[in-house]
Amino acid sequence: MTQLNRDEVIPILYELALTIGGEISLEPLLTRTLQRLLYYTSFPAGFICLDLADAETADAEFLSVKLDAVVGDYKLLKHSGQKLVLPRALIMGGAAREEDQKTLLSSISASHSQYQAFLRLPIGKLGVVILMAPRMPQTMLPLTRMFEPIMAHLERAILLCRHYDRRTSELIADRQQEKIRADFLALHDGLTNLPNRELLLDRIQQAMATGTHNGQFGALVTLNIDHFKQLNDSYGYEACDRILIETARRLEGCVRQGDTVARFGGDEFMLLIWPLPTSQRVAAIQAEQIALKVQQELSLPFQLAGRSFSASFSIGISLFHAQLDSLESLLKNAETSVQQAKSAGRNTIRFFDPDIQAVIMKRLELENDLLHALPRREFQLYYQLQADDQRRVTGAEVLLRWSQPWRGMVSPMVFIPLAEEIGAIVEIGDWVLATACEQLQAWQQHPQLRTLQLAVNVSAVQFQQADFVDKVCKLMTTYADIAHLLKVELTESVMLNTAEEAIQKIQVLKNLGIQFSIDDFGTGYSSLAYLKRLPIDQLKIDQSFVHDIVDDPSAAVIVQTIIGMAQNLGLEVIAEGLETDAQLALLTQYGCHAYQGYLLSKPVPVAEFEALITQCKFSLPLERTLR
Amino acid sequence: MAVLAMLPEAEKAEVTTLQVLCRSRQIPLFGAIFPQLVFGAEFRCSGVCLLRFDSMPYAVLHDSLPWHPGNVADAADIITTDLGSYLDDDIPATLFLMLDAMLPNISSLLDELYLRLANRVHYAGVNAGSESFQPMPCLFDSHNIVGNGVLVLLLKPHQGAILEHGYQVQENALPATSTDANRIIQIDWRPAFEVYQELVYKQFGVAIDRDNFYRYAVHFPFGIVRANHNALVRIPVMLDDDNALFCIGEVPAHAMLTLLEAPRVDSLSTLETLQQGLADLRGDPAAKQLLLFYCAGRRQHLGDEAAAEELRAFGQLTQASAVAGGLALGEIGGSTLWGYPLFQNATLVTADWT
Repeated sequence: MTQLNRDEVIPILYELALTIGGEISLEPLLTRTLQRLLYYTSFPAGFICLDLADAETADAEFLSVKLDAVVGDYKLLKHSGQKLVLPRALIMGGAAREEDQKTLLSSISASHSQYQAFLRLPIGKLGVVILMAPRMPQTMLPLTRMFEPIMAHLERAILLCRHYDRRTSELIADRQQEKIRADFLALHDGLTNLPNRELLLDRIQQAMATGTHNGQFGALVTLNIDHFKQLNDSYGYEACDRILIETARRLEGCVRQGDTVARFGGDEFMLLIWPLPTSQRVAAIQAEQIALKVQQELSLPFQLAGRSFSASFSIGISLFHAQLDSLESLLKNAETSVQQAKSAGRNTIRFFDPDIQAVIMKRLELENDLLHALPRREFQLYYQLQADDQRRVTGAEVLLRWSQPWRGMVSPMVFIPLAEEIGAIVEIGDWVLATACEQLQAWQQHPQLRTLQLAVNVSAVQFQQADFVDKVCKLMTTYADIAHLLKVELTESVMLNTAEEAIQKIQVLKNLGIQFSIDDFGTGYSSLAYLKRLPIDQLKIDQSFVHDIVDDPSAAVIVQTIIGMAQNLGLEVIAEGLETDAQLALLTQYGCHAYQGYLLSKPVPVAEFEALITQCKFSLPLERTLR
Repeated sequence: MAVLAMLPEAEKAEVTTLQVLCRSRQIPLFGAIFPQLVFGAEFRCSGVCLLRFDSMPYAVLHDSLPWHPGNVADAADIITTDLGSYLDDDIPATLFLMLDAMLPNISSLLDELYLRLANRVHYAGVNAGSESFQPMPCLFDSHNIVGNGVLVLLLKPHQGAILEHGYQVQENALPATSTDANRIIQIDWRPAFEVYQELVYKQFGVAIDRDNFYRYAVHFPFGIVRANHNALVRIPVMLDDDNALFCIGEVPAHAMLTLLEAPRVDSLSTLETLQQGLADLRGDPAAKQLLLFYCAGRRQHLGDEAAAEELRAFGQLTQASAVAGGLALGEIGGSTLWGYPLFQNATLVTADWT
C-alpha cells in the first residue's frame, strides 16, 4: 500500500475541508467541491449524483440518477439537474480508480467518448463523485483512501446545506406569502377583501384615460346602509361587520365582469361600472339597471345569528365622461348623488345629474304606465288599408296604438322599444295577434269584409318564444277558418342566430294556411341564402326606399332589385309608405302591384276602417295613375 | 487579415505608431507589452513581434471587467456571453487570454470560465505588463491601450497549449496559514515576511529587505501542492506595509501552501515534456511555428544564461521553424491534454501558432 505523505496530502485535504465548510447552499457546495477535486487531481471533468438509494432497483445494469453537479464536460453540463441513465458499474460501489474503461464511460450517452479513466469517490451512502479523464492523471498518492475523511465531511455538509436550503425556501415562501398578503391589503379592504379606495381610484383613472380615446361613459354607483350608526349601536360591530361582508358578496354578484366593487370605508361601497355606451341616455339606463339589481339583491333579508334582518340602502349614480370630468369632481358628484338619494327618503336610487334623473324618472313612469296599459285596456288596433293595382282592397296591416289617459296617444316609436326592453312585448304581441284573429272571425259574417287579409307584426322576441307556435295553433283552433286570412309580418332579425329554427316554425304555421311577409325588407342583414330557403309569401319594401324612390336613384335601384328578386323567387311584393302619385307611378312601372300608405289611407280604428270599405270612402287613385 | 503584436516594455511608446499604421491600412490590431520578447533562441529588449492572422479571429479587449472577489462570476459572464456563438463543437478551439499581471483574481476567473465553457475550448494564456510590477497599460487594440484588462482571442482551429515548469517540490514545507486572493498574510502562523527573511538568511546568508526582495523572492516561490505532484508555483513579487507578500496569481482562500526553498529545476525534463505535449496536441511530431512564453520569474531564478540555454535547447528539441513570444508574468494552461486550466508561474507555455 502506498505510504501517505502528510506534507502532500494534508494541504489538499485542508483546503478541500475549508472549501466544503465555506458553503451553506447545496448547489455551490457540490460545484465548488467538484471544482477543487478536479483542480487537485488533474482530472478535467466530473459529476456528482446524490440519492442513489432512491434510484437503485434490483439487479438493474443501468440506474436512472439525477446529475446534481457537473464540471468540465460541456455536453454533460447541458444535462445538469436532469435524470440520466448511467451504468451501475460506474456509479455504485466503493472508492475506485480505474483505467481502460472506455466502454463503460462511453455509455454516458451525453458525453464525449474520450474518457478512459475514472476516479469514483462515494459520499457515504448519500451519493457519489465521479471524476473522468482521457488518460489517468499521474499520482503517487492513494486517491481512493486519502479523500475518505473529505467525503465524510462532504456528506454531512450536504445534509446541512439541504436543511438550510429547505429552511431558506420556506422562509422565502413565507415572506412571499406575507408580501402577497401585504400587497393585497395595500389595495384591498381587510374585512370584505374588496378593492379599497386606492385601488378604486386607480381603476377610475385608468377608465378615464381609456375613455378619453373612445368616448365611452362610465358610472360610479355609490351606496351606503341607511341608519348604519343606529344599527351598530343596536346590533354591535360584529353583527354589522357580517352585514358588510354579506353586502360585499351580493354586490359582486350584481356587476358585470370587469366592473369594480370597492369598499370606500365604513358602510360606504362604490361600484365602478365601466365601460358604458357612448350615448349618455343609454349609459344612464344601463347604470340604472345595475343599480336596480343591487337594490333588489340588498333588499333580501340578512341572516344574523339565526334572525332575519332587513337593511335599506341609499344608492347614488354619477355618470362620468372621461374627457369632461376630473377625479375630484367625480368623487364629489358620487358623494352628492348618494346624499340626494338619502334626502329623497332613503332606500332609493338617485342620479347626480338632475337632467339625467329627470330622463330616468320619465322613463320609469312610462315603463310603469306601459305595464298597466294592457289590463287597463289602453291599447287599440288601427288598420291601414292595403290594395292592389286593380283597385281591389286586399286587406290591412294591423297597427298598435296606445292611448294613455293623461299622456294621450303615445308614439309606437317610444313605447314599442321600451316594451321590448322590459319584456312586455310578448304579452302585448299575444294580445295583438288574438285581437286580429277575433276581428277576422267577426268579419266572416260580413260579405264585403270576409275576404280581407290582416297583416300582423310579430316582434323577433315574440317569435323566438318557445311556445309561439303553440299559441298561434291554439288561436287557429279558437278562431276557425281564418288562418288563410292571417299574414304574419316578421323582420329579417328573426333569422339572426336562429335561422333554422325560424324556418321550421314558419313551415309549421304555413301548413295551417297562415301567410308570412318580411317587413322592412332591405334594411336588415339577412343572408340571401336563407331568404331563398324561408317559406315566405311576400316581401314588404321598406318605406324609406319608397320615400326616396323619386329623388334618389340608388333607392330606385334597390326597389327594382327587390322587385326583381321577389319575382325570381316567386314572392309577392308590397310597398309600404306610399304617399305620392309619383312614387306610385314608379312602383307600378317597376312591377310592384300591391301598396300601403297614406296615399290610400292613413291607419284608422276598426269602425272607420269598416266604413271605408263598406261605404267606399277611401281614395284609390290607381286607375287614374294607370290611365 | 489581422495582426497580433507583442512589444518589449522598452518599446511601449511604439504602440501608438503601430495603431496609426494599422488603422490607416484598416488592419485589425491586438497586442500586449511584455518585459522582453522571446524570438528564436533569444530574449529581446527591442523590436516588435508581429503575428499575422489570415482571417480575423474572435478578439475582444475588455477594459472594465468587475474584478472584486464577489464579481468574478460577472466578469466570466461578460467574457463568455458572445463567445458561445463563435464555437463549433466539431472544430477544436483555444481560448487564448492575455491579461494584465496586476489583476488579483485570475485563478477565480479561470474557475468561472471553466464552469461555463468546460471542455468546449482549450485554455491558454499569459500575463503581460512591466517586470517592475508597477501598473502599466499593457494591452491594446487598434484604438486603445488599457491597464487591468483582458484580451480574449479565440484561436480556431487550434489544439491548445502545453505548459511545464519542472520545479522539484521539496518535502520540508511550511504552511502558509493565511491568504487573501494573491496576498499571503501569514506563513506558519507568523507574518509572512518575517519567515521569509529567516529563510533567505539561512539559505544565502543575506538579510533581505524591500530593495532586494524581488531578487531573492524568485528563489523562494510558493508551491500549491497537487495530487499529481505537479505543484503550482507562486512567485512573490511585492511586500505591503503589513509585511504580507503579493504573488503573481491568486492562491486559494486560506490555502495551505508549501514554501519552495531554491527549487531545483530539471530543464531537460521540462523541455521534453513540452515537446511531447506539443506532439500529443497536434497528433504530429512535425515542427511548426511556435508561440513560446517564458516566465520572467523563472529566468530570474535560473539566471539569464541558464534561461537562454533553455530557449536554445527548446528550439533544437522541437525543430520549430520559428519561435516567438514574450517574457511572461504568469501563465495559463495545463500539463496534459484536456487538463483543468491552471494559472501558473515559473513555466514555459507553448503552442502552435497556426
